Amino acid sequence: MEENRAEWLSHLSNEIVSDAHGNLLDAYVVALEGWRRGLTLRWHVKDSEKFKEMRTWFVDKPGQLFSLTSKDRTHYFFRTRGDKVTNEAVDIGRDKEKTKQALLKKGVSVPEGKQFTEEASNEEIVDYTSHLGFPVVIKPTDGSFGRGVISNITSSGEFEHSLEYVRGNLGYQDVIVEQYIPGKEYRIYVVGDKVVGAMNRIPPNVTADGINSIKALIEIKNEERGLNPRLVSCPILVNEEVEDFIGRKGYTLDTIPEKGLHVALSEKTNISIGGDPIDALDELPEYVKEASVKALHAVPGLEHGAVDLIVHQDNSNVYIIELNPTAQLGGLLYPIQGKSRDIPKAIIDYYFPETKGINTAEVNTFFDFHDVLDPLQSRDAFVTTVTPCPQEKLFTKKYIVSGDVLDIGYHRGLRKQAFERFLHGYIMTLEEGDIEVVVGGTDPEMVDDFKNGFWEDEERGQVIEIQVEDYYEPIKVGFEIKTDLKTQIEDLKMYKQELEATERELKKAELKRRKYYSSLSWKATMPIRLVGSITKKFKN
Amino acid sequence: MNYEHNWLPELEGTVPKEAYGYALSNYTIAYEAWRRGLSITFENLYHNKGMYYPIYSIYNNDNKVQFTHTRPHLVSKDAVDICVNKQRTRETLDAHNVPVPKGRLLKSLAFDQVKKQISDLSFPLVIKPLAGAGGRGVITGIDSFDELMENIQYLTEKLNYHQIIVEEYITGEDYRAFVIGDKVVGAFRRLPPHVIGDGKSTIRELLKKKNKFRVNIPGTYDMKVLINEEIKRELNKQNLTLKSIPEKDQFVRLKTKNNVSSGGDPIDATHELSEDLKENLVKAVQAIPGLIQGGVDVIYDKESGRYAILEINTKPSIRNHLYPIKGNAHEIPKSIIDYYFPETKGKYLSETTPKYYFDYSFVKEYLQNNRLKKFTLPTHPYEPNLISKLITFQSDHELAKLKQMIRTNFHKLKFNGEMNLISTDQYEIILAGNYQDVEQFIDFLKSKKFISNVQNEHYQGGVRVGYSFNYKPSEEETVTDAEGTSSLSPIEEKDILASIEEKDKRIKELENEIIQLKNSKSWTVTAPLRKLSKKLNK
Repeated sequence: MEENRAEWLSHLSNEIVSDAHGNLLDAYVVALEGWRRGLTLRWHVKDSEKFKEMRTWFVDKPGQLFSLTSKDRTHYFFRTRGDKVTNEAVDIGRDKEKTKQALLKKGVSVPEGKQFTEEASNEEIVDYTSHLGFPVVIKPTDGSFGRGVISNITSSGEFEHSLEYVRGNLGYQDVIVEQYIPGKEYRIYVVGDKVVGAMNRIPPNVTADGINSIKALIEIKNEERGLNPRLVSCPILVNEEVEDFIGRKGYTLDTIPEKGLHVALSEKTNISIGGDPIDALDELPEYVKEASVKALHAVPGLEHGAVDLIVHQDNSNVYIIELNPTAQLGGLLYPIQGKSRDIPKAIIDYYFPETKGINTAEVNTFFDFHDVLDPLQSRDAFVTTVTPCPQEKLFTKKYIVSGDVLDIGYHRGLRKQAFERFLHGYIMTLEEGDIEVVVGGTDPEMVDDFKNGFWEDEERGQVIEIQVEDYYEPIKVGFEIKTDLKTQIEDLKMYKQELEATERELKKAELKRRKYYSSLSWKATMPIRLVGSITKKFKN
Repeated sequence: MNYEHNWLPELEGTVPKEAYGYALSNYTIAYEAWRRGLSITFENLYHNKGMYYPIYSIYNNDNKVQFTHTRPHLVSKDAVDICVNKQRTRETLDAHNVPVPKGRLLKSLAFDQVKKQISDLSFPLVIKPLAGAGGRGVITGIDSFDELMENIQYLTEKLNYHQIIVEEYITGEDYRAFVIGDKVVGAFRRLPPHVIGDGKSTIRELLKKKNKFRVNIPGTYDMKVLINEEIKRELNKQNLTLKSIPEKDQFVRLKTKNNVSSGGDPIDATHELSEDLKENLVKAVQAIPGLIQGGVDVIYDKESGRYAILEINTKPSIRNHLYPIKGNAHEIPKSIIDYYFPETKGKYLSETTPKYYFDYSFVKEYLQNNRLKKFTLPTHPYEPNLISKLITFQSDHELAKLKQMIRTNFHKLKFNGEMNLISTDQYEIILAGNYQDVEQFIDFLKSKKFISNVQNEHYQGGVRVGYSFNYKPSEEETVTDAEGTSSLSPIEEKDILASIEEKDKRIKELENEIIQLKNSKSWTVTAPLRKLSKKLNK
């Protein structure tokens, strides 16, 4: 996959975002950008301060609600969406029909179609569709993640079958039927009047190397996806549907395709099922950009957000499919191909234009996400305020200190020395009984001077030798003594929490499986059966 | 112990271990405000050369008062400057006719000059540094000019103090009074470190007992009486040794110094103050412009009624007022909050709810290491029909699963409290929540086949807000060894080792699970565990 090597942002490296899983990633990257510009970053529990009024959902788990404060004002954010986006705009964005009405009112093209509530009979819908003309798409009114979306339906027979499936089997009574627009699909992120990112999603695929089977190629690709902060939780799934799909081209999972051949594994483009996000900003024609900006602003109060659109393959017309006021940024930040686009920067520029000049691309500081969220999770705090980010690049050194240096009092003394010099970092005990001390600060003299501190506490630490190395990894604000028994117990607690979370997810999966497994056709249950097979493997 | 004392009922079971000692003042003041429904934020100002510097703010809508230890920001900088300077304090008080010892700041330390400057003072004298703190460098009972010069030399050469105050020694005992507005809210004096005989135990045994008592009191837990040469000498003077068995009720003095930190005991002395003295204590605070409140040190002779005010502390610790070894505790936190938030006077949410309190470990875990800048407490829970229960049960179900189940229920039912593991299969849950939800929760526990012997009773003790799990072996016991320092009891040691063993086992289990998960090649569910394995391999 070397030819596909993407360029990611170094100030949002894998290590920096490694504690921010799933939808926490979005909030984290925006918060981090604001914090690095010197804004005060606070994390909130549900319903705290302005969040009482803002539209939010699934926020029992902390890490999605934060606020940024400058000298004269505070802005509140739910994931990537700030308080400049009005509740009315959010409500419109969540309702596909209302979105469409708003777009049409402003003369923006959308696929022609109609929304039906549960009162509408199947006959009524079929009748409408035959007037609309084929091909069409059918989708649930409030579905997400591509669930229940069936596109490119070319005949009324096929349509009737699909309708039955979506309304009957899947139980989505409220559906939308609209024209199918053939062409390339884009997700575009707009802030104010600017398009700041665009990606194209392509269905799960592998590129053959002439050596490995398709099955092995998928595994290799999943390994790679595991290194991508956005895709780590979205591997390509190997299942009947995939087998069925490649089977149509005469392949099996054991086939070793010819070197260089791209093998598509599905027709769905969703990233969550293994699709690839590909950066497309540079290839995007100006008129498409203009159309996306116009589309976003068709909804009053929607000052930034994502626009999903299709550029028709024949006439190059732009059709808007959906607006998303609370969009995920992962795919735009961590594309599998192309350049990473700094959406968090654009969002913070928009909310705090006075901080525009502050370049955070060089900043190598971040904060411990667990420490910030744990007190909110256990409800020991309503709000936590992160220690301010040092406003310049940190110079960092790593000291390996040998001798009689394991006294915890000695380590605490070193922490004091670090704070006196305005340094951040940590102390960690190495297996051989040495200690590793990493300190970073904006003043290189202070960082070098710290070395003298090692010798100053002879009662508690007898130093024999100190090795100094330059250190280029990012570091967290504050100073952690990793050898502290307390810290170790905290770590253990964290591991256990993670295990608990995993077990919880497993339980949920089992429940779902029990509920759906036997009753539904294979197409409907595909994702659930997959979870089921994972469960089985757990038990072994 | 043989003394009678009445401590504040609201602090019974509501002061977490992390708030013991010096932190007690901060905690109890914040707690008082919190019980009235006020908002509280703790902050690490991180100045003074980058050192940890805690402050906390209390809010009632637009009324915000920020405290450094016990001092609100409303106390003026000038007032603090005057109080730090003992000479200026004395001059200011003197100008307002508040009795102070006769004396002055020495303008020159030369032999002849000193002689001239003290010509109108009569021995015995006291010398002290102009800006010393905590009794450092205070030398009393100087009976001759030679002795005076010797001690001045000691202060300049050994302790590096060059501005020295000399004053007449007043007979009497040291008292500390807390004054706010026009009220003396409480006063204590200190007994020297001592033990009281029971007719059976040796002095060593009595001291051991005493230390055990002290470590369990929030006010003195970090101040054990350590056996040292000073004690041995003092006993020697009384023809005693550590092995002597004093008679029942015999008072055995262990040291001559009597500050609390070296083992002296605070006793409530509010009732000992004369009305005249109280008036002057208030006058003293009011004499300093912008002071509002303070801890006034006074030397007072009960018999003759004579007294002189020595100095005023702008951020005195209030721990000794709260936990006197004898007498009544005084509600300093209440007076403070009443004064700055008069609109909340008597309006406690906690009087109609279970006895909630908040955790204090965040200071160490998040503020001191500078991970967080500020920490905003949850507000005091308040809703109708709350009830508090202690539930016990047995279960040999897997700990992680049990914890998860309880935690989920706590979250869902909006309970506050904790789950404690008492022994291998014995658990207790302390909780507060809506009474119907609590009943439902108890039924839920009873319905589980892997849980047995579910008992519950009404609970009067403190309930921590939030949810926590603790490993709390019931036979935990701290004893002091022969030298008065703490060590682990065999039972405790066994428990800790058992706990470590248990944790090791759990880690093994986790590791195994990780291997299985890795082999399963499934992704979605395993992401967090993959990270865990990385950590464990470190």
